[in-house]
Formats: sequence, C-alpha cells, structure tokens
Amino acid sequence: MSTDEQILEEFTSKEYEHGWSVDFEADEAPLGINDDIIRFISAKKEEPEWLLEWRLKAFKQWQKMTEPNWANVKYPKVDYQSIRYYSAPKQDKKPKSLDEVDPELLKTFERLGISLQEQKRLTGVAVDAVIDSVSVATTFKEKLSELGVIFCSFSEAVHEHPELIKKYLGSVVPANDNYFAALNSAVFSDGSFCYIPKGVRCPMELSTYFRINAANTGQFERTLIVAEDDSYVSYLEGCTAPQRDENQLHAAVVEIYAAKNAEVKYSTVQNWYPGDKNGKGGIYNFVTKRGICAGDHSKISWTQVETGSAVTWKYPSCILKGDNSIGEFYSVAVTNNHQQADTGTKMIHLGKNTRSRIVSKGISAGKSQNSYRGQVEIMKRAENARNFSQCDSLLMGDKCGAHTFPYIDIKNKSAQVEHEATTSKIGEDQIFYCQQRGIDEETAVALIVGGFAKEVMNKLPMEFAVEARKLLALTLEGSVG
Amino acid sequence: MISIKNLHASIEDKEILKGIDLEVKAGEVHAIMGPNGSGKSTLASVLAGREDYEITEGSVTFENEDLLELSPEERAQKGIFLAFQYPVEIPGVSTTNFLKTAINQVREARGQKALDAVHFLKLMKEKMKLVDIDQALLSRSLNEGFSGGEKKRNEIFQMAMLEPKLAVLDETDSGLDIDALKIVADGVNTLKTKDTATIVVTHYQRLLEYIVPDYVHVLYQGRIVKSGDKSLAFELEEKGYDWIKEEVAAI
Amino acid sequence: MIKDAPAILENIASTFKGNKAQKSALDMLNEVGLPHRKSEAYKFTPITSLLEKNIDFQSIVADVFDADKLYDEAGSHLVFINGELDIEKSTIADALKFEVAEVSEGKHDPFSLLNAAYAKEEIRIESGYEEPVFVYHFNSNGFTNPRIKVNVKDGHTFRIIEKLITPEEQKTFTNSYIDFNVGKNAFGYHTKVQNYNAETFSHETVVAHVSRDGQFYNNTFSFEGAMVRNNLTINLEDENTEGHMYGLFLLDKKSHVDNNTSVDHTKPNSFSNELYKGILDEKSTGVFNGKIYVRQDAQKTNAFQSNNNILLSEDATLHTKPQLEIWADDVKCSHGCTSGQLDEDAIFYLRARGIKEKNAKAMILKAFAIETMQHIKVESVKEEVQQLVDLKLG
Repeated sequence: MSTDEQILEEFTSKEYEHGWSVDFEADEAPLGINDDIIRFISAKKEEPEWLLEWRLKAFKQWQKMTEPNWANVKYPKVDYQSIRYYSAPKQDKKPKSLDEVDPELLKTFERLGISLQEQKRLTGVAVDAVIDSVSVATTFKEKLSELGVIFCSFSEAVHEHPELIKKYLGSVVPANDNYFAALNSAVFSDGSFCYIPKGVRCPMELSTYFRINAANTGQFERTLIVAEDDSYVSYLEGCTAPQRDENQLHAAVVEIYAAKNAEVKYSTVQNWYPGDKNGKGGIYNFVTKRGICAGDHSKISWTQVETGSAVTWKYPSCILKGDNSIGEFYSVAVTNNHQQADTGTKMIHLGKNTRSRIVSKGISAGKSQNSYRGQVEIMKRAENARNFSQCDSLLMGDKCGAHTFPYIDIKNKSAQVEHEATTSKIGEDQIFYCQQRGIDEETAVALIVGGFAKEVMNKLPMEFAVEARKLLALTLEGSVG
Repeated sequence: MISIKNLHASIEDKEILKGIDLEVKAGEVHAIMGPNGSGKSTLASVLAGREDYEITEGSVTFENEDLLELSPEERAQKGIFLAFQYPVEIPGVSTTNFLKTAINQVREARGQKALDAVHFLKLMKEKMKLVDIDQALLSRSLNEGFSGGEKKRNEIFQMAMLEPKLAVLDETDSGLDIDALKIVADGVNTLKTKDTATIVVTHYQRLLEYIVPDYVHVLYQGRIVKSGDKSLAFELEEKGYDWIKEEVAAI
Repeated sequence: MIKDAPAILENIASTFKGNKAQKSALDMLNEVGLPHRKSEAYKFTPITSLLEKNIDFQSIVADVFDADKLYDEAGSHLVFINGELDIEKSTIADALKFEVAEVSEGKHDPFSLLNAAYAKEEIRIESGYEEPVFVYHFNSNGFTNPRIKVNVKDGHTFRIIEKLITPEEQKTFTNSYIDFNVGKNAFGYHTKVQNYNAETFSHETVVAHVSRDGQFYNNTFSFEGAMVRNNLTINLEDENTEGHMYGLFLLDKKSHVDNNTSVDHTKPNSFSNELYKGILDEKSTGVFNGKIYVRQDAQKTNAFQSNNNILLSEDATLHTKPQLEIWADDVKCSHGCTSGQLDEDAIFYLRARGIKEKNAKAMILKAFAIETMQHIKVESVKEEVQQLVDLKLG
C-alpha cells in the first residue's frame, strides 16, 4: 500500500464523534404522514386553529408536488410513510426553568459540549436546545427580554406572540415554496424564534443547537428571525445526530426578515452524521433558508461550514428588496467518503444599489461529490446592482468530484457582475515544503486547507470559529491524494 | 555529519544521480557547482526526502543514522534544512503561523516544550533583523505575491528560526540582485557555527564570494567529477564548464 | 428531457421519408421527445413553443440561391439548397452524397435525432484541400435538416467556413448537424457567421471528436436571428488534444442567441480554452452556457473559460451559466464571467481628448469584441466579421 493509500485508509476510517445516542422515554407519533398525524402534532403543541389550517393546507400542496431531481445528488427514494414526524423526550411537566429540565437531557447537551447552565456558558451566547422534535431549554431568556429581545422556542412563540408568528410565518419561504419546505410547513415541530425590536443591538450571540436523537425520526424545525429597523443580531446554529445505519431526514426552514437598516448575521456549523465510510446511513439534509432584506440599507449575511450529512441540498438565499441592501454568503463545504453536497446560494437583486458577495470554498475528498450551485439574478428595476462571486474547489484524491454551477441572469444593463471559479488539487509541493520545515503531513494538510478556507472562517463569530476549525481539521485529517 | 556513499537516484526510470560520494563534517561549507541539468537540485531534493525520486543504490547517513529511512519531516526535525530554489506559495497561511506550527512540531519531536506566543514573537523579532525582513511580510500569506528576493530572504529567515545542523541552499542566489545577495549571505554566515554545516548548491561563483566554501565539487552528468578548494570556483567562473565537459569526455 | 410537444412531431410525421436508420432515429426521437418548458438545457430558450408558434414545418418555398452571398475567395464552395447539396453550383466534386447512416451518438439529444430522421442526405467531406472549404445553406423551406460529416485525416489541417442564408420575408427553421472527426495530429477549424434576420430560427449542432495530438477550433459570430441555438460539443478523446472555442454575440432588435458549449476532457494532458463575448442592445437576449467536463482519467488537464458581457440597453437580457464538472484531481481549471456596462471613465477619457461620444463608445466596444476574432484565419471571413462589427457598432 502506498503512503497515499494508507493515509486515505486511515482517514476514511475516522469515526464520527457524536455518533452516540441516549435512550429517553419518548412521546412519539406513529410512523407515516397524513391529516391525522398533522392534527396530532398540532394538538401536542396545543396550537391555535389557524396554524393547524395552515399546516393542513401545506400538506395538501405537498401531496401535489414532486421531489426535485435537478440537484447533483443521488440517493434512494425516501419513503415518507416510514418516517416518524414527531418524537419528544418525555418530561413530566413543561419545565418553567432550567432547574426543572430533566438532568438526563442537560447531560446530553453537556456531552455535546453545549452547557445549558447559564453560569457555565460563555456569557456571550444564549442557547435554544432542540432535541428531535422539541425545544428543551432556552437560556438567558430573562436577560434578553429586558431589552425587548424575544428568543424562545417556536412553540412557545406561537402561544406568547401569535401576532408576530401570524405576520411573519411563511412570509419569506411560503408554505408551497418547494417540496421540502411544504413538508416542513405541514409537520414542523419546533425551532427557534427571535425578534429584535427597533433600535436594539442584541448584546449576545443567539444560538440554537439541534440534535437528532431518536431513530426513524425526521427533524423538521423552523426558525424565524425578525429584525426590526436599526437592529442587529448574530445567530448561530449547530447540529449533530447519532450514528445509525438508516438514513434520516432533516428538512428545516429558516426565514429571516430584515427591516430598514437592520443587520442579521446567520452562521451555521453543520455536522450531522455523514454516514459511515461505505456510505451507509447519514442524514439527508434538505434545507430551505432564505432571508429578505425588506428595508433599505439592510443586510443579511450567511456563513456556513458544512462538514456533515450524507446528502446536502441547501441554498441559503437573500432577496435584496430594499434599496442599498446587502446580501452575503460565505461557505465552506467539505465532503468525504460517500458524502454528496449540492449547496450554494441565490442572490435576488430587486432594489437599487443592492450589493451581494459570494465566497464559496468546496473541499472534496474520498469518493464524495461536492457541487456549488448558485444563482445571481439582477431584476429590471435593480439599478446599479453589484455582485461578486468567487468559488474555489480543492480536490483531495482522485475518486472525488467538484462541480460548479453558477447561474447568472441579468435584466438591467447597469448591473456589474463578476464571477470567478478555480479548481485545483492540494499541492504535493506545498505538502513537501511544510514537511521540510518539520511539519507532519496531517498538520500540513490542515494548515493548507485552513488557509484555503480562511476567508470564510474569518467570518464566523469567535465562539464558533474554534469549533469549526477543529471540525475542518478533523474531517480532513490526512486525506491526501 | 553527513556521509553520502555511491548514491544513485532516478525519476520515472531516468537515472539522474549516478553514484555520488560526499562527506561533510561539522563546521564545513561545501559548494556544489555544475552546469544546468547536472543533478544539483536533485541531490538537494533527495537529501530533504522528496518522494518523487527513487533511490536505487547507495546510502546517506546523517549523524550516524540512515537518512533515507526517514520521512521529510523527520529529517527536518533532526536538523536538515533545505532552502528551496522555488519556495512554494501557501495561500491563506501566514509565514508566522506556518513557522509557529513548524517550530513547535520540531520541538515536540525533540522532546522540548512548545514555545508560547510571547517567546515565539521574541525569537521572531530577533531573527528578523538578521535578514532584514519586514513584519508586514510575515503576516502575509506564505510566499504569495512575494518578489523573488523576498522569497529567498524568507527562506533564510526560516532557517534562522529553525536553527538546523545542516543547511542545504539550493540555488539561493538565483534571482537575487547584489544587495539582496549580500543580505542573504550575511544571514547564512551569521548562522554558521563550528557545529553546523552548509551545502551551497549553485550554478554561479558569485554567491561563493560571500559564503566562502571550504570545498568545491563539480557535479556533471550525475557524478562529482572534480573537487577542490575555493580556487576551483574561480576557475569555473573564468573558464566556464566546457573544459570540465571535455575532461569528462576524454576519460 | 420530458416527453412533450407531440404536436410538432405528429405534424411532421406524415412527411417522413427516411430509410431504416432514419426510422430508428425517429423512434428514439419519439421516445426522447422535444424539450419541455422546464428542461434545464433549454431553460432560457423555450424552443419547442417558439417553433410551435412560428414555424410551418411543411411549407415549401422556391429556392433563394444568390451567388452574391458566396465568399470571393479561393477554395472549394459547397452550395446546399434546402438541405441538399447542389453539385452544379458547387466547386467540389468529391464531397459525396450518402444516405443517412445509423445514429451512433446523441441518442438522447432531440435535435440531433430530429436531424437524422428528417435529413434528405448525409454529405461526407474529407480533408485533403489546401484551401478552406466554404459551405452555404440556402434554406427557404419551413423546415430543413442539413447534415454533414467531416473527416480531417491524420496530420491534415482543414478549414471549414459555414454560413446559412434565409429569405427575409419567410419564417424558416434550420436544424443543422455537422460532425468533425479530427485525426491524429490533425487540425480542424470551423467558423460560422450568423447574420440572419428576424424570421430565422435555427438549431445548429456541431460535434467534434479529437484524436491524439489533434486540435479543434470553433469560431462562432452571431449578429442577428429570431432564435439561434448553438450546440457545440468538443470531445477530447485522447492525450495531448486541444479544444478552442471563440464566440461573439453582438445583438440588437429582438434577436435571441443561445450558445451552449461543452468540452469533455477524457484523457490526460489535454487543454481547452474558451472565450465568448456578448454585447447586447435593444431588446436582445444572449445566453451563454459553457460546460467543462474533466473525467477521472484526464489528469493534468488545463481548462480555461471566460465569458464577458456588456449590456447596452434597459431591455436586453443576459443569462450566463458556466459549469465545471471535475472528477480528476490533478487539474487546473478556471472560469470567469463578467457583466457590466460601458466603462464611463474610459469614455470620458476619450471625449476629453476630443473624440465624439458616439465614436468613443464604438471604439471601446470594438476593442472589447476584437479579442474573439483573432483565430479567424481566412481573410474574407475576417473582413466580413469586421464589417458586421463596424456596422452594428456604428
């Protein structure tokens, strides 16, 4: 075996760190999906009638839709009737504070490195912890509410702030937007809601941590972020799942609304279970994320580090409606073994002087397929719109693929759009140079990949950057081709 | 310090080195000269452990240890430094970050504690003066967008930081103007001690006016065909390589 | 491809007169169908509905041969009238007429199949001429399917210049197919000048197969047409091969030009270079879709692609979709595309030197366009393109 093969072998046999699961007694819906299941979920959450109607309508529409097949990914047909659409760890009563939360649940999150005990947390981050279908705890709620910031689970928001939910739910991603969004709209179980009132700069990072625990269960969370005029918030999302032989479905929806002068920064470190080295198991990550810069001078910035999931289908997008609004997308997507990722962004320029910037760094190793798919659309009224896109791919080994599909549609002559893409191999010369200075091969690869992804990594909030860097190094350890 | 015996090396079945014998002791400076394509850079790369070359015969011992058994990083950790003819660019990785990683891995291999940020920076400041290198340059991506002179100075700066026992300078003088050449040579001379050795690989005699060799070897067609003291370098400068070629042809 | 628009296929079925090979192409076509409204490959050119709306597939119109349209250039001239080689008007004797042979590729490509099924004949041209060969298609019928196969023998250099001429007052649809087999160490050059009119609809397929050490060049210059779709595919089938694609689409009125190019690197050490430039004025639409495939065996591939565009009018539309698909790891590939308007600073600079605004603009646009013209080697074609550029840009 050559050194290269050895290293590849070593690398591909790397275990997923968060592959364990915990046996909770769970409150579950039967397998499958139909009107009754939706009623069951809605009833569990004691939802108002209008929301149930909204769900049922979405379900009707979903039944008429067909699963999209244009993405550059292949996976066996999902049997939607063998998925469980609701599973919640049983808790005797609804906990009023963290002290009442089942200590086992808290331990689960501790084990993931997420402490829900406020005193143990970095003071800069408030966390909403979601396990399977429900939110189990949200930290720093009181402190935030002093500023008028609402940060709570989606279910809670439905009860406490129905007027806001009614106004914004589905306003950015309509229930029938696409197949997976429609499914989510029908069966979503929980998620986070953030509301930043006018003029408030949220003093801490808001974060949701998603964990799939139960088997055969899909996760369908929904996140809604509303930033009023002149407000600012930075939001973080993290995810892991146990190691299971069967594929599990994650179909989330994230909606962001940014009013005049508002700025929302949304960061994701996605580390769902990617399946084993033979491609068995893993999460299907079919996610719709979209933000609207509704007000003038507003800004939405997406940053994502994607290392997990067996199949990823995800295009965080910005609708730049307000004049002078700004959309950004920074992404590092790493695929290894048999992972497949089709990810990118859409920047829809509607307003005048709107700007967008796309930086995508794809790293493919093992037998994986990594695709960037992006769309820049300059509509007729978008005077002086600007876009710059940069997509770079790095290949490690000769069994993987890197694909780039940028779509650029321009209907206004004043648009200035630039797109650049490169694909290259991690250089043997670079590795040798590092080695000659006494750096071993694995560290050399981590160093080179870190450099390649730096522009995106620098966009992550401090709290996430360290984790993301570690994750990147871990995912690609020794994978030289 | 290093002993090379009957070394044969080939790339893609083409033999480049056809039996090299060379003995370098601590405190010595050896110059390896020769026309283009004679195998000079191959020799430097083989000593550093580049895997593109296959060693078909011979041995290399470094401080009584079989060098050929070691990986490139192990060789570096044991004190072999190669100043590259074409230093490699690594986008997004600053020289500082790069060197910090390197030094700490070398220290780890030698059973020393990692340097903390304060001591590392102190060491860096000290060595920067040696090659007149600017802090701003060290914060930029390694070798990316550096001028030829900056790259070469950066190589010597790295050498100063890593304090090798045996430094192999591969055409370090190429692409340098006379001022840069002096700075580089001064750096190398300052780093020289009675415990270290230097192999200077070059095509021109110019560098050897500043880094004075104890021995000069002429490499031609994969063999050392002539050895002498520094006067040999002057002779080559004056007469070119043709007479060497003729001598070899005559044999 | 979704089966659709049986209306067209049914409509023309009664005119089918093909041989056995053509019948099997027809069967495959019926299986594949024509592009659907949602077909990714025709996303910006709804070809099926455009043809349905505009074209009378069965209309037969007297021929429109016009000797003035021929290039005044030494070389061989091949004149096709409504898809058939007119030997009397042509100056080449050994371009041979054949029956359409069994379709061996493009079995999923509806327009290649459509051509194979309805072509009246298959013309095979072999290299061996010092001078370029000029191919003219005078098409006045509603629906024409010129079909040509070119063989560039080992070590040969062969240039083909192709041109379609249609009447101004007649709606026509030309569905052409030309296939180049470029032998070992051979050079194939193919140049097209597309200066059609508001009634011309065309779908033009160019396929090249390049053998070891061979090179293929395509130059496509588009100036006008109701709907022009260019499908250019270069298959680099062996080591040390090169593919070159250069294009200019300089459009105004309601012209619609869709350039769909693809280069497939299958073996090590191959090279491709692509440069397309678009200048869009008035209500024109330009589409560029450039695909680069680098297969697993194609190590040490270098592939470069660039598409630059300038929009001159509020009503012009541009769609550009570069696409890189790479399965080999030791490759250097890059693509870039830009879209913008005229550089105001540059115009101001020229005006400050006393040049009229109109001239300043024309000067800058011509400079922008000229880069795509450097590979035209035939003088009269170069002149023609230059004249058309001058005419369009004033």
